[in-house]
Amino acid sequence: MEQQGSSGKGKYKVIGTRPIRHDGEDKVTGRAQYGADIMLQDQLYGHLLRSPHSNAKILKIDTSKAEAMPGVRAVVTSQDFPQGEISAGKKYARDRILASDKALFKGHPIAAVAAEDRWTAEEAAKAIEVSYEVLPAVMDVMEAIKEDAPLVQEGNTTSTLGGQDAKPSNIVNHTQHKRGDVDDGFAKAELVIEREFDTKAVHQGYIEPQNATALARSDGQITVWCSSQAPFWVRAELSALLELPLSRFKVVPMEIGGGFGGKINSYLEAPAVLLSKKTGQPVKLVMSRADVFEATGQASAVHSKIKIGVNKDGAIVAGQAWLAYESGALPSNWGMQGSMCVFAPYKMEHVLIDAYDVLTNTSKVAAYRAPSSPQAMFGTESVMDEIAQELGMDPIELRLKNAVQEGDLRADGPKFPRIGFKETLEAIKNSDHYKSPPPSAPNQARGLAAGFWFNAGMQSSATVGINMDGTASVVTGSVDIGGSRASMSIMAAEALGLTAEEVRPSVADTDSIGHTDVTGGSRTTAVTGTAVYEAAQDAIGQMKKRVAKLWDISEEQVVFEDGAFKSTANGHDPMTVKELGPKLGMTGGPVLGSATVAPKSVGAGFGVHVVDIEVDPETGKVAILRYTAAQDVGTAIHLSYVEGQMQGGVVQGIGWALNEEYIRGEDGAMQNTGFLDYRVPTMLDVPNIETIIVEVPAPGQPYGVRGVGEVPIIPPLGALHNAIYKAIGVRLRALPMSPPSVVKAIHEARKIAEPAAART
Amino acid sequence: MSKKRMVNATINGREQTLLCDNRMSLLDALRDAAGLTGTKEGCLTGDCGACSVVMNGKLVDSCLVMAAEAEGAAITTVEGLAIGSDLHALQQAFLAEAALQCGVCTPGFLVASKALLDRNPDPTEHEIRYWLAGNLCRCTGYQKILEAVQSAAAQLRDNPR
Amino acid sequence: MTTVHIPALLRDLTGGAEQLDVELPAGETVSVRELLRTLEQRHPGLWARLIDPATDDLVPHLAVFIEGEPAGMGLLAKVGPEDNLFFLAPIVGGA
Repeated sequence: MEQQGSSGKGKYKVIGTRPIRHDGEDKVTGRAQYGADIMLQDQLYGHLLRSPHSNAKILKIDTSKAEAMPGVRAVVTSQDFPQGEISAGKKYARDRILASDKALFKGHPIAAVAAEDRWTAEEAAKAIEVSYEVLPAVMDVMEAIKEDAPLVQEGNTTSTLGGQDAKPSNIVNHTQHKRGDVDDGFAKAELVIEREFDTKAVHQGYIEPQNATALARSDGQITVWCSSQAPFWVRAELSALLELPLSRFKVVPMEIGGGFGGKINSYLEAPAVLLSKKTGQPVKLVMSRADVFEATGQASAVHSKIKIGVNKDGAIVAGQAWLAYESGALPSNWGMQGSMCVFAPYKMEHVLIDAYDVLTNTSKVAAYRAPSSPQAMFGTESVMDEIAQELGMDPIELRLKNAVQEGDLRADGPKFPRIGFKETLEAIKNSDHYKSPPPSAPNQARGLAAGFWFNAGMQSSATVGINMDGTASVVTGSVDIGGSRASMSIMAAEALGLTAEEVRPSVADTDSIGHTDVTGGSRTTAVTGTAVYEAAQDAIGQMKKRVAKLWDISEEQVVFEDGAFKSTANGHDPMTVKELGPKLGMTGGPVLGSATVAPKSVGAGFGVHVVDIEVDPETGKVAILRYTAAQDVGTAIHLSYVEGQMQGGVVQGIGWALNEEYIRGEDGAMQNTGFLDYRVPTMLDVPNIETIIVEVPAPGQPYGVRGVGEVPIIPPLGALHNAIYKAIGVRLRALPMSPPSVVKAIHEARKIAEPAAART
Repeated sequence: MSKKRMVNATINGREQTLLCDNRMSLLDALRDAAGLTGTKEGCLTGDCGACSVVMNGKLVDSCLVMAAEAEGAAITTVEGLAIGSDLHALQQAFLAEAALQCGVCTPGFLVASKALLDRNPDPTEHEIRYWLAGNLCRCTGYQKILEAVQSAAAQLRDNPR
Repeated sequence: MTTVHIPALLRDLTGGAEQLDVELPAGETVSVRELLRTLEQRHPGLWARLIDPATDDLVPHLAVFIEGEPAGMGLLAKVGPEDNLFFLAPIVGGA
């Protein structure tokens, strides 16, 4: 059943409807230009030579044979970055792009070649001779965290507010949050459950591989065309890597084929620029699927221990978490973020959370949809389910009893503003799905879990231009990954009293709009939407002056309400923006509203999901019979895309829970570097996903918008785990809960159940 | 020995002669030689379906077909679905049902869906999911794609093209 | 009273106190930097753990938060009475 949004309830005219997206026709006809589609006059093709070793000193790189090959135009290495003394941070940043003294992971770029065609570039890369001194490598977080583990970065010491630990190790950060006294709390609690969990690295799995095309002109101007979630950040990265001012660069965002956090860091842009500088021609690089898996940014593998103590009535007394996050070969801080998520939805008087970011010889990890939260909350939602089971409590009631609301403190300290966790729990409680009896045939069961994620704030810019016929344009710097252009035009239309079709949205390059931060962090609709709203208000302010001129009254006597300019004095019929448009020229010229915002972040999002499954005990396959996802989105701007974000996140979560993992061989290398064996859900693997949109407007956002994109990936992990437990009587605390793991768990459970005599 | 060859094929109803490097796949030929960049490269191992085209009536992953094999073939790509400015019912349905988010898998899904409806105008939900299991989407969770195909199928049954 | 919430790993310097209250003269605001200098006098060692001498700013991966909001001005941000000051990791998202 299709849900009605706010417009259906009469609150807004355009917000909450489902207009056709403005970029839609180009995308269904194949006209839309994604990064790899670009074709520039005399462009060359680039290819990267990558390390075959997970950890090795680079002794020598000989590019002469490659450079001599016919058709090869240039070869670059880390030596082509500006040379001289650089800070450790700068070295990490460069090493991530092109290795300098060490190959830190299999797939680490060592050199880049530009040639007349992609096959020649590939052959030339193979002709580059590199001598390595292979070193012991460590892939597993729990191996890498040990004191005697081989060091991934020799100079690394643990950053901790407890005073810098001078002994080198693979631990980048130790973060701790503490409130009250957990030992005291656990001693007083009437039930304490402590469990250990493990999740493997997974990949965002966007269908479009990374790409970048660069043209470095002889006058020093550089243009880069790429599929990126953050063109302004690409520009900043390039400026830092190449030590050139921002004004030398123009980054043009092409259409992007998925990102989910994996296309925030740049990978190919700097090598493309270096190659273009050497050749004087545009150079295009596109990654292979295997390289995408091995050498972009997977989501951290995490090992965790979760301990929660409650009273018999279900009230949580104390919570303790220990979390170790894979960092990859370069420092990152997802553990720090995970530490802020792990217990976030629940009130706890006594808390102790320790989180570690641990270096491993793998590619540096990157963000993936609510990054750090799925792994942390997986354990929490399992333990909460066990507690509900032990106490004979409904899992929703247990969560309602402990749910945070406005004014409650988050585990790491700050107070929650207005949030909708309780409302979302109630929405699931009252849903058709939850009210129906759980599936009861053998090996069938129901599971439930919650999810929490922040909504980032950061900065955005927008302009709203009024055309001579009163229609409008809205320009932002937010890359459109999922239909956000349509939402921008909806919000501008709502503010101006126009229809969505009358507002033309576009996404600008870094020359054409003010600085705008990433499309990600569940911030785009909320924060860039705020910029759009403010820009519209700016335009309205300018238009009021024009109306005052036309009506020969003072500006203070003009108001804008219900989509029209009205006079507080007498004798003037209301005038819409459409009617004013043709009169702009005569009253002073064009009207362009603009705004740059860095607003308060809008406050967190919560989701609660329920799933019915059936386990095949022979194959271990988990079939999903029914799935319902409820989420507080603040205000839904475009209903179809809010539903779509929820459904898409759920299916990624299903893949993470049931099948996806980096399978590593003896040598540590990833063995499943393709979509055949890195098994993401297909259309056949998932049922209809029912969505329930809860709207608790976010404070401080003009339309009450929260983010929607990230939260949906979190609950499937816990919900499926809890359902599988009910179905087969075993808790699979290691992800993925893939068919072999499920079968193994069933067999082990049977062995325990069989009488001893039958086993001999 | 020449490293290139001429490949003659009928693409979206139009006879074309493409100058192809011998190493090119059909996907490369469509994108780089014919300039039809609607068909996308996702994995180059035939696992994601983003490169789906119809060749001689059969749905294929064009990354697994050599350009030379397309000699004399009739090929339909996403660019061939609309008739002039008349979008195909599937294209209209994908827009109306919001069956695309990033849109990169969409050309593959459109071509594959059309291949399904051409042979089975009234597929069940299971038949649709089974047929389209070779096309991966990471954004939508597939729900709205299913609804779009069902909507287009109904539309086409009422108003055959 | 302005409340400074002390990160857990610094509490060895504050005798275990989870938060420190600072009385500001009526109607006045003070920068976070000045506040930290005041606290350093009461609990020596705080400054060295929070401030990176190379940048004269907060150590990497830490940001100034007033309530749950990252303070754009960082150490220059002004806090007043009734404000709660935190030092937390800035959030970057993914979707």
